[in-house]
Amino acid sequence: MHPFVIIKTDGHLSNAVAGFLKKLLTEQIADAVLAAAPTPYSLLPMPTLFTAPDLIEKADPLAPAAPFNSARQAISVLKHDTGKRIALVLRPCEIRALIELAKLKQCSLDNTLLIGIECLGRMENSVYLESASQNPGLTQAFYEDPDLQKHICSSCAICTRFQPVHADISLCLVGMPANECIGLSAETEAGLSVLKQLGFETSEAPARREDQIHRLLDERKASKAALLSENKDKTDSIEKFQRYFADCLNCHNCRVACPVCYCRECVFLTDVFAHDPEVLLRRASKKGMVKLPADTTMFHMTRMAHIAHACVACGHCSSVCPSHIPVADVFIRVAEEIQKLYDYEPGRDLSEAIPLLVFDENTGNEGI
Amino acid sequence: MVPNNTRPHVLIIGAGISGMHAAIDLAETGCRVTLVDKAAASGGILSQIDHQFPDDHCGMCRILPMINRDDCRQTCLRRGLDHDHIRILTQTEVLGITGAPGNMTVTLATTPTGVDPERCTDCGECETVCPVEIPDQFNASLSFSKAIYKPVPHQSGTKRTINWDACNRCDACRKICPESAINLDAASRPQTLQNIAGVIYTPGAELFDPRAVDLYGFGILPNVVTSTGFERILNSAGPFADITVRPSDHLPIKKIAWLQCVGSRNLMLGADHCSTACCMIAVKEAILAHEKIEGAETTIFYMDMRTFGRDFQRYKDRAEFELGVRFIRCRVHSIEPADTPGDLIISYVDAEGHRIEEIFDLAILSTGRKPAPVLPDFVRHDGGFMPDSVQQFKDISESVIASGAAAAGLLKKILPKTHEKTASDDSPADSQSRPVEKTALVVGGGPAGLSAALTLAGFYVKVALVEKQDALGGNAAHIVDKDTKESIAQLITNVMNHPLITVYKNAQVINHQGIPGRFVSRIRLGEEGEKILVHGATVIVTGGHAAQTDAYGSGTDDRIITQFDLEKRLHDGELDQLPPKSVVMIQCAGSREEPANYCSRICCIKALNNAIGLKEKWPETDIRIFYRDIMTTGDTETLYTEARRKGICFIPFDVSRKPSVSINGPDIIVTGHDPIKNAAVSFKPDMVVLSTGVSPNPSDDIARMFFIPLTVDAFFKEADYKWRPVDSPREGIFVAGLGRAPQTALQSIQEGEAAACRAFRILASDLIKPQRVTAIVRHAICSRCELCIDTCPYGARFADTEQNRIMVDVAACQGCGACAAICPNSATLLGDFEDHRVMDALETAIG
Repeated sequence: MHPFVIIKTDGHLSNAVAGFLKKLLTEQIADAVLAAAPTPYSLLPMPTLFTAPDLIEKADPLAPAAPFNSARQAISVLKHDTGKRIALVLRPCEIRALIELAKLKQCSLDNTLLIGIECLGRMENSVYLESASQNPGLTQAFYEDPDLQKHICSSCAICTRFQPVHADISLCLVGMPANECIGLSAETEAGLSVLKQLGFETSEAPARREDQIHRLLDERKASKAALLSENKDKTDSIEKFQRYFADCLNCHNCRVACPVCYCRECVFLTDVFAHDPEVLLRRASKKGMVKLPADTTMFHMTRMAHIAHACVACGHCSSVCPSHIPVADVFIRVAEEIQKLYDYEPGRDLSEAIPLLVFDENTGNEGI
Repeated sequence: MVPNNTRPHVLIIGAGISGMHAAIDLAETGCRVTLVDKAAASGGILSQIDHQFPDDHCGMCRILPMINRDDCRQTCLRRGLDHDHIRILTQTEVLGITGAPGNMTVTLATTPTGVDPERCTDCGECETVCPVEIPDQFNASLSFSKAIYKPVPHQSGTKRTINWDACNRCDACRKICPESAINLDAASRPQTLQNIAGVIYTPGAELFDPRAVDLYGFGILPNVVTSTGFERILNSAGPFADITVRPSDHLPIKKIAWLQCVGSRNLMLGADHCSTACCMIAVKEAILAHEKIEGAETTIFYMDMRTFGRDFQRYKDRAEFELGVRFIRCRVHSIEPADTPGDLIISYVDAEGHRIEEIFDLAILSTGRKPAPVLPDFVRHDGGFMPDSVQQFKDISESVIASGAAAAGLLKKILPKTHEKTASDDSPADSQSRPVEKTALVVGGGPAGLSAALTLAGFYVKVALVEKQDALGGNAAHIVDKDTKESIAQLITNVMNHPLITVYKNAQVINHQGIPGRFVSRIRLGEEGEKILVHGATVIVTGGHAAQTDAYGSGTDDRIITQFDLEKRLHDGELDQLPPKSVVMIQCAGSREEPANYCSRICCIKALNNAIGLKEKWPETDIRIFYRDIMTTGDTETLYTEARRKGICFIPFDVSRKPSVSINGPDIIVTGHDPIKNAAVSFKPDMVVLSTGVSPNPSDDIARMFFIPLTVDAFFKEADYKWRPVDSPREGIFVAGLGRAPQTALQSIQEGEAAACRAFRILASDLIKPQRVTAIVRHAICSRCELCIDTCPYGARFADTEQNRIMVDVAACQGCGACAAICPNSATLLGDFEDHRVMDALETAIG
């Protein structure tokens, strides 16, 4: 068991978390903290880079909303080692994406403190905005009220990796009464040394946590199995796949939202897909007509080929789809099969090589 | 491109793997080559074989040119070699050679094929009507061919040819040919080649015909085949429709026996030689049998399993312990037909001395080369170069090294001093071309390093030789053999006196950067500070040393010594005062089992030489050698024969039943198991001599600095064990000698020469020019994720941290496209293979 610290919330969950983050700055453990906070103009929490201890009190990283996977925002401050130590408060899917991006040399994690949230899910932006406008204490209420937790988005509802992997410190919520206390678990030596520096006494995690984590995991696994099997029926042939994406507008929002789609410029924006009119006319003349914009299936298939091994199942592709296509469902389903094939889990370990870089003549013999 | 008529013109006789490899090396270094073979097709024996040990793949294409790729068709080499500067003449024999190197005259005679290649459309009508059926040589006589036939069916561009010995001149083919391409009266065409700079002779081995061993029934029992025959059976285009059936009744093969040393190591046949490669070929074939035949039962009957190469012992162990190949040390007396039709009875004596009769579906005779080849007179002509594998039956790796060394020897003789002008390119430089620093760095001054440096200097290349110690010669200091010692002393003198070689002793490379054609190295020179060297190529020859072991009480008693010690004492006369009356030698002490699971190559020969040396001085001395497998490959087999004749007693042991050495008061006691007596034996020798093998010198720092991987035993890992044995995986950096694989000093000298020849491919021209298909990076859209760097099999890509860019080294890039495939947004492209073109082609294809 990892060393565990219990922090009293005294009925103010968000304040307690912000108070902990404030200490990171005042005790000079970190030069900056990246954490989600509502902006002066909206309740929607945005990743915010704090350096001033008094401003970090506004941070509310447990708010059950995330407008996007913050790994992409994280790498904008981690592109190279600046000599500053940055603490980042991220959801497990965001850490997983960050690890994948680090493998792809998009950032350096050398001087960071990763604080992972034991994530009970996020609401879609519109759902969150409506609930939060009616309930100023939504963050705490969410962790106290199982009914509110039913409003999380569909990808979160099937998420089985809600516990942070690769974090230095985990913010623990399962089995912790949010109005009384939350937990901090030191997952690494670095994490433990921070908790010690801050003067926390470590203890054992409450015994009930284990049970509740298992119960939640079992529920999620069941929902996931059901959803993926249903999805397989809808997408297991090229015709079905085309029908699934029939309403796609080629807006590429899913690609923009995807945290592991890391290309500086997507191939679908390059000359490779900038067809000459002759090409479109040729395609039309083959069957008498061609739907425009072209390459819809090609786009989704290509994206799947590029990221299936790295998909962290955050579900943001579904959240941003203007046509309400459950993009994530099919990506999560295919990703799971691919990842199993290569015995690869994105975000599991920074030193785990990306599957296509490892040649093993026996891989794939067992088939998908 | 340097036009053909200004290149030195060389002749290579024999278009097997050695000849083709020498031809390609020479063509890459600026020569024009005429490659002749008396066979009807190029490729030699390897054209019949799909899989080769120790990786069970082919990979022959890896000897194709890598710097001037565009000079050559880049395709499967088994389908034929098609190079701008190599002309292949098949069915051609050399009648005579006159003149001196640099200007020789060669007369050739080409037997006509009878088919005009310009007219023939490959329709095959002729073959259909031909009434003559003869055993098909290509399929090892397991099927039939016509008198007009394709000698190597898978070779592209090869037209049919007529087997004049078989043809009955019935005229049917000529009459049916719609193109009138056939001429049955064509006469042999002599021709003369003038102005030949030099000749290389690589005729290959003549294989032993097992009909001479009548007790094995070859030629009478259809299910007794040669190992080449079995390779053909396993080939999907082989003699039978199903690849796992036996010749007699086309029933599935399950139980297979290999009989080793058929025609080799047999004094009755005058074959006092080992054919070297057959043991490994049998292991490979057994592995292939397990791969292709479900439930295969494989047995290899052998005398000694000669797993002499660096990675061979582990290969054999895999066959034995993972696949269950049965190894039985026994020379089979005879093969007889069983009562059940087609089956064979093999009777043998097992380890306990019981006579056993066992029924097999198929017996494979491991036939090697014929004894005592007769060399034509012209081979001794000055300017005729023989790789020392000539007419031996060597594995690919050694053939490639030997032919590389022969090419180097030839080049040294024929290169004009101003060769740069001849070999360089006059066309203007483009932006991607870059000049070549015509200098080389050789790291290590042992035999391999000395020979590499001298060979390069012989090509008029300036060489910096960096040696860690304060003397050159490496292990030469410990070598006792007079000839070897003298030849190394000569190398040292030549290196020290060569005006183009600068020797840095007590020096070490501490940094190495750059790309082929221009590397920059920092050298620490003892106390004199540092020096920066700029060089076009690098040869790493850091050598090895005697392995340390604590096996068999080594180091605990001064009567337990190593073969190195004994060799020295014998040579220095230290034993003359008190000659040993009884000596026990133990082979493979601390080697050929984990963690040093490789054969050290030199110990058996050293042990035999020492034992013979002792016997010659003191014939009464009892000498007993505990051994696992005596590794006297090739002609060193004669040593083993001589040792047995001198009454030296050989006792085989298995790793599970090793002898033991103990000290009991004043006595050393060696006990072991004698399998012939099937009883324990015990000796009280005056001296126990251990064969302790060799280890590579520690080279972690060098490996890191030069980005060369190491094997599990810390030898340098070459680009490809078989086909590119002295290339490192990084173009421009070459490896040779004891740091690469266990070997004798003379082999190291040869490897040094071969490595120099490979390095000269880069140093021969003034410019490295990008070839037509190389990768380019579109920096504006590149995300610098470096997937391409990790995926490039040639180490041709690197991150330029100053410019924050991914760069491609055009010399190393082979245009394979792995980078373009892994790049998600086409930020890297392969010239001529832009995505939209490929997609247009795909669209057309799928309709």
